[in-house]
Amino acid sequence: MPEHEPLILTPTARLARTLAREVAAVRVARGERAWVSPRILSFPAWLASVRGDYFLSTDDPRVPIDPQQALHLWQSLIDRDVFVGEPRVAELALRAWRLIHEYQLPPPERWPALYLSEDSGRFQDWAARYQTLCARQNLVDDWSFYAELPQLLRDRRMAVTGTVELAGFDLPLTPLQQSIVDAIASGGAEVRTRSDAGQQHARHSAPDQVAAFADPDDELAAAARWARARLEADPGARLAVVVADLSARLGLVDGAFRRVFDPPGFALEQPGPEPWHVSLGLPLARWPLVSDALAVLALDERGIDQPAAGRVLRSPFLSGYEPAGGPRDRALARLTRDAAYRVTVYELQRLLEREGANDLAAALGAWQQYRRQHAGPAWPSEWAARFQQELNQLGFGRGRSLDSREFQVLRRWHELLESFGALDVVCDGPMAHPTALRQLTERAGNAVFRESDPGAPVEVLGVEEALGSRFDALWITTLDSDSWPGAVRRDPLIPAALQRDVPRATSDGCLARARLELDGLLAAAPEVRTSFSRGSDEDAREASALLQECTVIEASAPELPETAPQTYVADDVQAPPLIDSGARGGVGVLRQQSECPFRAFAERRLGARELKPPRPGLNPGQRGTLIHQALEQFWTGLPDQAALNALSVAALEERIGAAVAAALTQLTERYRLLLTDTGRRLEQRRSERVLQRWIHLEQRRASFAVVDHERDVDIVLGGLILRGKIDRIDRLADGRTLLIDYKTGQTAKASWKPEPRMGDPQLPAYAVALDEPPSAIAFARIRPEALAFDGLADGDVGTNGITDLAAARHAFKDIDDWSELMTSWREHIEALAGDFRAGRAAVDPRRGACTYCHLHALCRIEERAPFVAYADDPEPGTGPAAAPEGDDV
Amino acid sequence: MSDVDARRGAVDPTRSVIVQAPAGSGKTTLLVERYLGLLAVAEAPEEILAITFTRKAAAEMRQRILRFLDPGFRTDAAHEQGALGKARAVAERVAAWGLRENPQRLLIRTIDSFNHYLARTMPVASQLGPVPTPADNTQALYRRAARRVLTLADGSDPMAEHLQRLLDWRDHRAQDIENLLAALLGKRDQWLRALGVSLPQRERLEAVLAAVVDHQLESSAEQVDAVLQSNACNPWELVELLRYAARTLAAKGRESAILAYLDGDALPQADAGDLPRWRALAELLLTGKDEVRKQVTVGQGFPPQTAEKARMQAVLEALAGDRALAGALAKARRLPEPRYGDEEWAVLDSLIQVLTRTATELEVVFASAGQTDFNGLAAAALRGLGDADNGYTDLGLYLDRRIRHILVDEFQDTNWGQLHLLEKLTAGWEGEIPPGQLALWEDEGPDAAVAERAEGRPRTLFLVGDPMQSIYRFREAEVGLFMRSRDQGVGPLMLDDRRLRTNFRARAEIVDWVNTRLGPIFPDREDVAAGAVAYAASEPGRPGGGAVEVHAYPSDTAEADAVARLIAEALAEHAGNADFRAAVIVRARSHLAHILPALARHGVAYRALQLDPLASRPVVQDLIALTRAILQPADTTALLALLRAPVCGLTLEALWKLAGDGRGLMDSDALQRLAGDDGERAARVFGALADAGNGWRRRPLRDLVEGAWQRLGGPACCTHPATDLQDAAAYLTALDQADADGLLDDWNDFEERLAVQFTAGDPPGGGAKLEILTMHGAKGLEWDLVVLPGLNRTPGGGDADLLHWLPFIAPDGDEQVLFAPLRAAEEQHNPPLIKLIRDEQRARDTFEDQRLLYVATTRARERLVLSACLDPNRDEIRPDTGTLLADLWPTTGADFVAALQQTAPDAAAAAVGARVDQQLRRVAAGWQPPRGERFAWRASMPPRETARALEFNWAGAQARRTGTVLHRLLEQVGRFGIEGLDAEQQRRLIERIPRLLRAQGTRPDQLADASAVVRDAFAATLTSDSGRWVLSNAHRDAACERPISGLVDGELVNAIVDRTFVDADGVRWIIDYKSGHHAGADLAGFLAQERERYQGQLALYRRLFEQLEGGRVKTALYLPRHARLEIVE
Ligand code: SF4
Repeated sequence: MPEHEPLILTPTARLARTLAREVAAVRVARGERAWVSPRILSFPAWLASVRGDYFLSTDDPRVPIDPQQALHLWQSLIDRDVFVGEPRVAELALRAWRLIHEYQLPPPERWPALYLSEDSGRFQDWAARYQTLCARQNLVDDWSFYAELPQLLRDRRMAVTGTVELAGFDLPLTPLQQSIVDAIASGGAEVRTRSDAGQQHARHSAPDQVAAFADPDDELAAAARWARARLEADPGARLAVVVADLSARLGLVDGAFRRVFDPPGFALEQPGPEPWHVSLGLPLARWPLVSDALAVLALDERGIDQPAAGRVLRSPFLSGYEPAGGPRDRALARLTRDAAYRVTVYELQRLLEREGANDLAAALGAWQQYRRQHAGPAWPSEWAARFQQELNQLGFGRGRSLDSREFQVLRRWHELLESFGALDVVCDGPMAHPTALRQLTERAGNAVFRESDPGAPVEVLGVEEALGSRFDALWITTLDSDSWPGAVRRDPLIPAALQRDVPRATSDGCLARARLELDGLLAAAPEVRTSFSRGSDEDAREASALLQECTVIEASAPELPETAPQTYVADDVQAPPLIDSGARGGVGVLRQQSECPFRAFAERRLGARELKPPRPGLNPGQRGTLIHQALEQFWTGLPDQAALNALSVAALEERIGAAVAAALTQLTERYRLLLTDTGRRLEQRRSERVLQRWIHLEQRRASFAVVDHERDVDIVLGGLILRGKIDRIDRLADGRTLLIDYKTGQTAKASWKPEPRMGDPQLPAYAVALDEPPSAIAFARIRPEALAFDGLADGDVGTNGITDLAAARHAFKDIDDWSELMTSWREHIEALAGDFRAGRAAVDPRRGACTYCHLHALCRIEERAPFVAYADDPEPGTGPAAAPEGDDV
Repeated sequence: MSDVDARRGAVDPTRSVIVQAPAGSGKTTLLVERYLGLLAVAEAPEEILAITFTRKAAAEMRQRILRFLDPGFRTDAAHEQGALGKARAVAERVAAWGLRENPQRLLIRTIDSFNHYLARTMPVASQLGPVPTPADNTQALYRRAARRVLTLADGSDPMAEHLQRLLDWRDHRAQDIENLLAALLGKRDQWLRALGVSLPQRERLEAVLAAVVDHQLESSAEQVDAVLQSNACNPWELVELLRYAARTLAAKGRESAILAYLDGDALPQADAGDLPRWRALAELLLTGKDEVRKQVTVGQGFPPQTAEKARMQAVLEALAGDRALAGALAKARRLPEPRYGDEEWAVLDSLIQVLTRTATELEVVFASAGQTDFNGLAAAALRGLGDADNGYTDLGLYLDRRIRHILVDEFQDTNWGQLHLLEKLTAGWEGEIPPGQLALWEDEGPDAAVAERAEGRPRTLFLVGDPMQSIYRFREAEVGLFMRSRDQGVGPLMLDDRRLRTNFRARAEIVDWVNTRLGPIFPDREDVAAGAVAYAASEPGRPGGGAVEVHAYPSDTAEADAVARLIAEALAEHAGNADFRAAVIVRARSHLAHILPALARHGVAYRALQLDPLASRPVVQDLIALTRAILQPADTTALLALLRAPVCGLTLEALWKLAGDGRGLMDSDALQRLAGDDGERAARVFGALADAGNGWRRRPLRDLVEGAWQRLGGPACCTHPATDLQDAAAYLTALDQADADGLLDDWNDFEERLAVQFTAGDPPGGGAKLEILTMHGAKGLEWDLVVLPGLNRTPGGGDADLLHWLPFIAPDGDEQVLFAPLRAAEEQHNPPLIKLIRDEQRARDTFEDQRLLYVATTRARERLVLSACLDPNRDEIRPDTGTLLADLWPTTGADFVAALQQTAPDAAAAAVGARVDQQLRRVAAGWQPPRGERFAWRASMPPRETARALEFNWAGAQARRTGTVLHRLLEQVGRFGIEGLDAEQQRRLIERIPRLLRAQGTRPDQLADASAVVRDAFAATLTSDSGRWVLSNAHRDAACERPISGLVDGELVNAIVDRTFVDADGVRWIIDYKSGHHAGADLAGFLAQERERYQGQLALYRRLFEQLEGGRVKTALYLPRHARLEIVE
C-alpha cells in the first residue's frame, strides 16, 4: 500500500466523503479513470480502525465492545437498580461516559463527595459497577480504549507513521483528540493541518443583512427557491443550506425541496432525481420498511388488534401486495366495519379469503405455526435468526419491488439484526421474546439511516456537518436568538463544577462556541445568506444578537396560489328518482330522510357507509343485539304474561340466565375475542340483572300475550317497499295489539310527534302500514338507570309509561284521537318515503342531526351553514360531548 | 398607600412581595422593573428566575428587558422611568455577562418549560430519565395505559378484583371505564396529589367529608342565629316548640324528621352528628319547596287550637318570607351523612386502586414511547426537588448558579402543584444555610459563602397577579392560593402585601362603571376555601371621555344586526385613526353564530382569533377525506367526499351514476359510467389517488396527502386562501405528528387527536380593525372599543364526569380533597354527596363568572358595549340562570330592561332566515391545476449500487463472522508476507482467534467450534501451496485491502481488494477471499457456483485495475477453508 499517501482526518464522516468525491472529481477532470483511493477518514472512523488493528496485532487479552454492546451492559446494571423502569437512562450514562473521556474529565471514582448531586452520585455508582463488570468479563468499550490511546502511542505500542493531515477542523479538537494528535506527533509522524489553496476567498466578516421569515417553513421554502435559482444560473455550483435544528425538522426538508425542485413529483407524478441531499437521517425505525418489519414481529399469535392487523394488510413489503383497492384493502374495510377490536389469526384468515387475499391468509397461518414453535427464550443471535424467519414466512421484502432507497434501508436493517445478534457477547444467557423484541425495537429507534449521497449539488446540513466544508454559496437559516447561541447543555450525570471547560456546558462556553461556529460557517463560502424565522405568535423570535450590525429585512409573505375559476351549480338538491321501489336497508331510511334528506341519499344510494374502527369491549350496538336476542330467547315458548307469572322465582332466574347465556354464545361465536372470560361473566351478570328488573316490570303490566318476536315485515309506504323487523308484538287483554321496540339507548316519545320531520318515524311507520293496526306503540327502554316503557296508546293499556293519547301532553296535546294520529303519521311518513323515492336530497339537517353524522365532508355543511353543525361548544378545556348510547340493531 | 409607594415597595430587591395589580395597572412594567433591579444585586442572571403564564408572555418579557438594556433605548413614558434607571445602573454588569448577545441567560420561562428544564437537569433524581420535549397531546398514550390496566381484569393480578368490582358497578361498560381512566390520566396531577393529601383510607376520607359538612353547617348555624336575632325570635322558644312537636308526633305514631327532637335540648350545632336535628328544624320551618311555612298543622305536630300552635304561628309570622333562613336551612337539610355506604366505599376504594395503578402503567407507557406530558414533567420536577423529610435538593449541584430570586406573573391562576414547586424552590430561604452547601460556594470565588452570609445577600420571591382576573379554574387554577400566600406566605417566607389601584388603561367612565356595577356583585367577603374574591376598586388614571352602553334586543338576529351596525359606524367614525381597534368578545364560539354573518352583511372585515376546531374547516375536511382515501382505499365515503369537493364537484346525479346506485364505486369500470366533463373531473381524483397508492409507504403520509391535494388543485380552490392555507398547514403538521406518534394505525386515536386541534384564526394583516375572540383569549389585551354581545347565552357543555372530587383549602391553609363515590349504573340521579360537590363546584363557577365579566369589561379603553338578548314577552323579564347576564342582573338588570324597551320593534325585523345554501361550488370545466416545472438534473458521478440479497440469513451472518476473522488474519500475514511469519508469530495469531471471534459477537458456547473452523482454515492456508503463493512477499506491488476507485460506466466505484500483486510474469492478480465451505460431494459444482456468483464483482475490479495501470490482469477467488485458489475468467 502506498503509505506515503497522507492520512487525512476530518471531523465528520460527511466531510470525509465529500473530500473523497472532490478527489474523484479532480481525477476525472484530469482524464483518469481509476486511481488508488485516497486515505480520508473521519476521526471517529479512524479511531475505530486503529482499535481494530490494535486488537488484531497485539496480545491484549481484552475484547473490544461497540456502543450497542456497552449500552446493553449499562442497561443491565441500571435495570437491576431500583429505577422507574426506564432503560433509557442507560443512554444518558453512555453519553456521560463518553463526555468524560472526550473531555478528559476526572473519572467518576475521583469525584469529591461534595460535588455529588443525586444524579451524579448515582452515576458514580453505576460507573464503578460498569467497570467491575467490564473487568470481570475482560471487555473494553471504545471510549475507555481511546482514552488509553495517547499512552499506547507514546509507548510505541501502537504506531502511526507517515503524514497525518487534519482537514476541516473549524472547531477546536476535543481534549482527547488533541492528546491523540500530540501523541502521534511525538511518535514521529508528521501532523499537519490542511489549508487548501483557493479557499482564501473565504471571508470572516459578519453579513450585513439577515432575512426574517414568518415561519420556518417559509424560510426553508425560500432557501430551496434560492438554491434552484442559483443552480439554474450556474449548474455547476455547490450549494448548502444550513438548518440549526435539522434533526427536529428532518421530515419536512425533503418535501420542502421537492416542492420547489420537482413540483410534478411533489404532486405525486413519478418523481425525478433529487438534486438535494439531507445530511441527517431519520431513525431506522421510522422508515416504513423497518417500521412494518417491527410491526410484523410485534404481532401476537394469540390475537391481533385491529391497528396491528391494518398494518399487515396495508404493508406493501409483504409478498402478494397489490396496488390500492385490491383484496387486502377490501378485507381491511370489512375488518374495520364488521370485526371486533381483537381478532384471532383464524378470523383474519377467513376474512382475507373471503375477499380473495388467499396468499396472505396462508402466510399468516404459516407464520402463526412458526411463532408457536419458536417462542421460548433464546440468545440474541438466535432471535435474530427467528425474527428473520418470521418475516420470511410472511414474504417480507417480496412485495412491491423495492426502490433504491428501500434497498438501502433493507441493508441497514440486516446490519441491525446482525449487530443485535452480537449482543450474545454481553448477555448472561437466553432472552425472553418480549425482551428481545423490545431491545431490537429500541435499537432500531436509535440507529439512524441516511441515504447515500448521489453527489447532489445542494446539501442541507446541520451546523456540525456544514463546518469545515467549502461551497460556492451557503444559506444559514435559523439564526434566531434562541438557537444562536443555543441553550446550555450540561450533562446531568456529571457534577456541574467539573464541566466548566466543556463548551456547551456553560453559558459563556455556548456563546464562544456559537461565535466559532458562525465564523466557520461564514467562511465556508464566498456567498453567504442568513435568515431566521419569527416563529409563532406564541413564541416570537428575534434575530440572533451575534449578528450585531445586521439589518433585518422582512421577507414578504409567500404568494397565495392563483385562484381557480369556479362555477356554481344552483340548488343541486335533486338526484335521479329511484328506479324500482325497493329502498336499500329497510325502514331506517325514513328516519334518515327525516334527519337529513342528503344523508338518506348518500348512505342509501351512494353507499356512503361509515367506516369507523371498533374499540375494545362491547359497543352499544352489540349490547343492544345481546339484549334483543336474550329477550327473544326468553319469550320463546312463553306465550303470555300468565305463563310468565306462573314461573317460580327460581325458574324465572334460570330462564333469564339461560337466555342471556345463549345470546352471549351467539355473540362470542361471531366475535371470538370480543369478550374475555371475565368479560363474559360480567356481561352475563349485568344482563341478567337488567333483564330481571325488566321482567319484573312486565309482570306488573295488565295482562298480555306475546304474539310475535323479531317479526320480519315488508311494508309499503309512499310507493316504497321497506323491509323491517318489529321487535315484539303484544296482544292486550282487549284483543288489540301493542308494538314494542327494544331500546338500550335513550328514547322519547316526543320523537313521534306527527310533523314533516319526525324524530323517529319507525314505530309509527309500522303502526300505519300493518294490516292490523295496533292500538299502542311503545319503546321498551332497557337502560339500567332508566328502565321503563315509553309509549302511546289509544286508551289506557294498563302499563306504566304507555300513556293514553287523550291524556298525553306536549307533543300530542292537540291531537284528538288515535285515528287522527294515525292519519297524520301516515301523511308525514308517506311524504318522507315519497321524498326519498323522488331523489330529494337537500342538505337540510334537523336540529342536532349533524352532531353524530359522519358525512360532513361529503355534504359540506360547514361551507353551507357554518354554525348548524355544532352544538354549543363547551367552555375551553372540557372535552367533547359524549356520543349517545347507540341505537339497537 | 399610594400607587407610587406601592410600586416602590414592590420593586425593592431586598424584600419578598406579593402585588395585587388590577386590570390596567401597569403590571408588566412593574415586573420588568423588578427584574432589572434584581440584576443589580445578582451575581449572575441565572440567579433570577421569572415564571410567566404563557410562552408569549415569556417572550415579551424577555424582549422588554432586552429593550431596556439596549444602551440606545429612550422612553418618555413616566411609568417606565424607574425601569430605565435600573437598566442604566446595571449596564456594565450586563456587558460583562454578555447578556445581550446571549439572552438565553435570562431565565424567563413558563411553568411548564421550567419544569421541563428541571426534569432535564436531574433525570435521575426526578426519576424520569432522558426527557424529550413534552408532547402537547398524549391522549393516545393515556388510552393505551388505561387499556393495559383493563386487561388485568382477567388474570391473577391483584387488580383483577378491583377492576371487576368497578366494571360491575358501572354495568360492565368497559368502554366508559376506559374513557374515564384515560380522561383522568390527563388530570392525574390533581388526584394523585389529592390521594397523597388524604391517604385513601376510609376514615381519613370520611373525616374530610365530616369537616366539609361541619363547615357547611357552621355557615347555616351562623345564618340561623343571625336571622333569629334580627327577628327577635328566642331560640329556646323554638327548641321547646320542636320538642313539643316531636312528642306530639311520637304520640300519634307519625313519621317525621321532627321526631329527632324528642330529646333535643338546643338548636342544632355545626356538627355533622346534628344533621337529624337540622332536618327536624328545616321540616318544622320550611315547606317542601324550601319556603318558610305560613302555618303549621298536625302534620308538623301542632294539633289545632293548642297554645303551642299559636306560639308557633307567632314564630312563623316573625320569620315570614325570610330568604336567608330558608336558604340556610334548605342547604343544611340536603347535606349528606358524612360517611360512605359500605358498597360505595368498596367501589371508591377499587377505583382509587385502579387509578393509581393506571398512573403507574402510564409511566411505563411513557417510558417505552420516550414521551411524557406536562403533568409528568411537573411531577418529576417536584420529585427531583426533594421534600422536607428527605431533604431538599441543592440546585447548585446541578446548575451553574443557585436560584436566588423568583418572580411569578399571573399568580392568581396558580395551582397547588405550582405552589408546591415554589415552596420547594424557596425552601430554607429564610433559615440558616444548610451546612452541606457551604463548601460549594468555594467555586464561586473565595469565601463566597462566608461573604454571602456576612452581606446577607437576599433571596426574594415576587408574586404578582390579580385575583379578580383568575379565570382558569378549568385548569385547576385555585384563586384562593393568592389570598393564602398573601396572608400566610409561601413556605416559611412572608411576603409584603402591595396593592395597586390606578387603572391607566380605561377612561374614567369605564373604570367607574366597573366599580359600581361589578363591584357589588362580587362577594362581600373573600373566602379562601371557596375561591371567592372580594372586589378591589380601581381609580381612573385617565380622564373622562369614554362611554359604557347597555343594549338589549328581542332576538339573536336583531342583536347581531345591531351589533354589526354599531361596529360599522364606529369604524367609520374612526376611519381616520389608523390605530383604532375594536373587538367583539364572546364567552363561547357558538355565540357568534349570528354575528359573523351580520358583520359580513354590513361589510365589516374582521380577524377571528377564536379557536375553531380544526376539523370543522371545509378545507381540512377535504384533507381528512384525502387522508382516509389514502389510508383506507376502500373507504367509499372518503372517495365520495373528494368527488364532491370543489376540486372535482360532481353533481348528485353524476355521483349516483358513478356509484352505480349504491352498488359501489370501487369496481374497475366505475369511471366508464361517466361521460364528458363529469368523467374528466372524476378521472382527476382517481388518478391522483392511484399515484398516491404508488407512493404509499415510500413518502411520508403528509407528503402524499399534500401532494395529492396539490395535484387536484386544492390550494387554488380555497374560498379564503390565506386562512384556508394556514389551516391546511396546521392539519398537515398535526397529521405528520400523529403519524410519527403512530396514531394513524387507529383512526379513533387520530380523531381524538384532531378533536383537540384548533385553528389559529385569521392570519394577521389584511387591515381588519376588528378582532373577534373569546373572553379567555382576550385576557391581557386591550382595545378602544369592546363589544360584549350575547351576555344572555349559557356557556353550554356539561361535564359527564364519573368521578367527582373537590379540592379546597382548609382553614389551616392546607389542601384538602373531598372524594365522592362513583354513581352506580342503576342509579338515575346523583347521590347527595355528589350533589354536594357539584353544588360547591357550581358556586365556584359563579364566582369565576364574575371574574370573567371583570376581565371582559376591563379590556376597553374608550368605549364598552354590553349587549344581550331578552324575551320581551315574558311576564317578568329576567335572564336564565348560569349566564353572565344573570350575574350582572342585580346591578344592571334595570338598564337592560330599559334598553329593551327602547329598542324599536322593527329592529327585530332585520332577521334573516337561516336557510342552508344548496349550491354546488366547483372548478370550471376543463381547468387544470398548475403543474410547475421540474429542475433538470442528473448526478454526474452517481455511486454504483451493489445488488444485495433480499433475505437476511443468520447462518450467513455466522459465516461472515468467521470470514471476517479469517480475512483479518490473512491481511495480517499478507502485510509482511508469509515468508516473514515465524512459528511464534503464527502461534500468537492463532491464539487470538477466540478473542477476535468474540469481538465479532460470537457467543461463549459457540466459540470453540467457530475457533476451530478459523484455525483449521488458517492453518490449511498457511500450509497449502496456493495459500503460501497468494500470501508470498515475493510478488511485486503486493497489497492487502487495497482501496481503489474509478469511474465505471459513468458510475463512481470505490472498491477494496483483499489481495493483489503482480506475479513474476507481470500479471496483475486480483484475489478475493471467500470463506465459504462445502462439506458434501460435488465440490466442483460448489466451486463453479462460487465463481459464478462473484464473477461480476471481480470483473469490476478487473476493469478498475485495467483503467489504473493497463497490463494483463487475472482475477481469482481464494477459499481458505478449502485452501483453493479459483481463477475466475
Ligand atoms: S352532516 Fe348534517 S347536513 Fe351533512 S349529511 Fe349529515 S346530517 Fe346532513
